[in-house]
Amino acid sequence: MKMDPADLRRVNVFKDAPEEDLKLFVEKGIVRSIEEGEFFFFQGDPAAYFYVLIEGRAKLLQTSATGQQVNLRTITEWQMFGALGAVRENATYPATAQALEPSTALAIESSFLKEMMQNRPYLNINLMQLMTSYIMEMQERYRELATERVERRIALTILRLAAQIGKRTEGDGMTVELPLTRQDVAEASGTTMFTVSRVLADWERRGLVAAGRERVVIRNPHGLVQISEGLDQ
Amino acid sequence: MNTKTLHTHLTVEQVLQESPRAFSVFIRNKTRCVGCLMQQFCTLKDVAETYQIPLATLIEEIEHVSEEDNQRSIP
Repeated sequence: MKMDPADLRRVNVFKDAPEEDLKLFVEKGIVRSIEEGEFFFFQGDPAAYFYVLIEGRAKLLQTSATGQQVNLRTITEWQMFGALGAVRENATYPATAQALEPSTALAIESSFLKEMMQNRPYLNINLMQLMTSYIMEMQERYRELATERVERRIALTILRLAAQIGKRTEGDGMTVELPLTRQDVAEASGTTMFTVSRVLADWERRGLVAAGRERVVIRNPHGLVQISEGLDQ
Repeated sequence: MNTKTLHTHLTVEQVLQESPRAFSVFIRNKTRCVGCLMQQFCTLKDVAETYQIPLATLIEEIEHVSEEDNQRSIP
């Protein structure tokens, strides 16, 4: 497969690169085509090459010590991946790259990228942009996971307590009332009163509960069950 | 369970106690009532409203499996 160096400008990191740099990267690169399900590299391999996906789609997946797999991201055409070897000594790939369809990538030695970075500010800035966008994305995902977990825990706690001490009341439809303070809910669900207040205020706004000083009224039991089961997303 | 008394105000828990085979009706109708912590509070009417199942259909299906339960328990 013959590559036009100008195509590399479609890669964010290379968007400001002069023609001669692009030519160098293409000259140094090896074009690798693999079938669906095959791998560009494995987690733990020395990160000797970085890749630019030219065609197809790939996923980056991480495997835990117990064998659980997590898909970190999907790589689409003209995205760079596996570049950490250029900035970290003796780096190994933190994830496996597997093709989701027949895919082609340009593989270039990480050491060459490192060499080029020495006197090309555009490469440094653009790689930092790539890094910070990954960090921001991960922070957002972390926040989502953390808040989702605490919401589910509080919902489950309230439902369990309702099953034990709740009383059915008739408001606007079926409701269940519990004689609980926010502090009780916080202690029972292993979180802080601040978090319970925040979550209850959000649920109140959504019409799921009504929270008084010493009582919680479940106004939409089914909605709360869905949150506790993580089905409301 | 006496089918004549199957009332819209019976809770899921009461229905399941009286007629264990009714669990299949809740599952067939794609409800999540079986094993739910709210089953002692939710009546058949609530279930019908939440999952938008015609109440008459739900009761009819439960009565049908209840009859089977009763017939099996007769020696």
